Amino acid sequence: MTEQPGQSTADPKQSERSPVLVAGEALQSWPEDLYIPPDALEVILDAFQGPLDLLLYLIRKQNIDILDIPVAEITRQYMEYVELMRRLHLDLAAEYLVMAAMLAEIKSRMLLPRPEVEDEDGEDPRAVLVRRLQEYERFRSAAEQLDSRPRLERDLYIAYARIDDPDPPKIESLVDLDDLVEAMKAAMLSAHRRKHLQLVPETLSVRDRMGRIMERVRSGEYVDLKEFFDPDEGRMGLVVSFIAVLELVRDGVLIIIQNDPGAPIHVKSKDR
Amino acid sequence: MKNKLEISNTVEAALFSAEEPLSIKDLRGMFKPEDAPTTDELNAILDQLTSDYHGRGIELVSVANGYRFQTQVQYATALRRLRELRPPRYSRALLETLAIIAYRQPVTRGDVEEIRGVAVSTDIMRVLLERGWVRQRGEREVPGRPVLYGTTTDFLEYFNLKSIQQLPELADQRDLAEIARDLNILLPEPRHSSSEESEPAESDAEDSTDSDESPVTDIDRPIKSDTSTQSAADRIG
Repeated sequence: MTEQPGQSTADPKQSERSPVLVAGEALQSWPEDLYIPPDALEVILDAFQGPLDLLLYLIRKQNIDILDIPVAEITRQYMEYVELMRRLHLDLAAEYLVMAAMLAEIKSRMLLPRPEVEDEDGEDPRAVLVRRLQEYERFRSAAEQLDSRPRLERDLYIAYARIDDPDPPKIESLVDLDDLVEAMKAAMLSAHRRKHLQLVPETLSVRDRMGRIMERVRSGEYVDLKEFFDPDEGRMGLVVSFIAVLELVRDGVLIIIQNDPGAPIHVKSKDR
Repeated sequence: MKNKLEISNTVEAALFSAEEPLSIKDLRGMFKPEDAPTTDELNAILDQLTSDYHGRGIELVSVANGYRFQTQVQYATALRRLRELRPPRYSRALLETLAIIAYRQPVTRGDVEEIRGVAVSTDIMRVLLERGWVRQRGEREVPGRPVLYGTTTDFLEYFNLKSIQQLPELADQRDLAEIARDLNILLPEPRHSSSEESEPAESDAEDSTDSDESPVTDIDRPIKSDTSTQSAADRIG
């Protein structure tokens, strides 16, 4: 596992004994540890998984209880990081700025006197943030747990004796996008040759075509990709078929198979 | 009529020569109807085989809807060295996305973004769909009809899980009442009238210290942390 920010999590309860930690007054000074060598910084900043991750890092770094965030200070630090990211020309996602705005809003709301009445506005403005941070943290650790589970290709290998089959089923090899594009080109060319025959084109829907393709492959057999390229439909029809196939593949319901480079391309329903 | 040993050996051979896990149904299906063991008999055979292989280099395990032979975890390093295999690594972003889908399914991309606070990259969804760990599970009936995603049997098989319930429970989330008390805010929850909640909002830090360290026997709290884990488990199911 690579080093990650926010790993220096100490038990927040422990830190409550130190005077630094008491919210507000007793706080003497914040650790001046923002300085990190510039090249290392870039790696660290890039490793943040978004504003919530960065915030959690800032909070953990100072052993602050997540339930007791000094918003003003955290906002200041957060903005420093965001500014750094910008100066380093890191791909600064808009979400970071949205969070900055949210922090500023919380900060300003906390400066206002708290209303006495129990209306909805009386809710501590930090509560929403805290809830989101906690929720994110749960899934962050769930992801870590998932990652540490024994899994195939890393910790476990399927143990099986291969049976030699004189008539083996088709090998499902990955089809290069180039080959697909080639197939598409060939179909386009043949459509071009019949262009003069083309009549008023029907409007063709990709969704409809996707349905028809799935219907065709439902039995589980291999179907030649060419079947879906009907030159009579013209350029438009071909494009619709092509997109429909790509969509289905992306959705994981269709697989594309080619036995050898240059061989005909077949499609098959993904369902076993 | 085949004898018991023959049936058991046939099952073993079938499992050992299968690249994918075989279900009870698969296993029963390979026998002539008159020879086919009952599901109970088959389960007994599988249990016996599992214990026969116990403590060996390979083991018989039950994943998703089937059984498969696999190598024991502790020999993975040696096997990788032998085959010069390099296990694929997955980014935190991908694993977080996958975890959210696994625990909260069915979810939309928007749900994932809401929790992670950052846009879900198309690349991540592409990898998850390509690996077959995640698939579309219909659309949510709201404007825009966003696609709902859920995990697949391939996901279970890859992560060595029998079912999604086998995932560890989500870390305890402190319930709202507790957070509210620590933050000294008033929730519109009139069910219990402990003095704790109506205290003036003076020293936040001290209050939270107290409540964290002292056993909370004096407060009647209807919402326990059990409830939140329970609801998490419900959501998984």
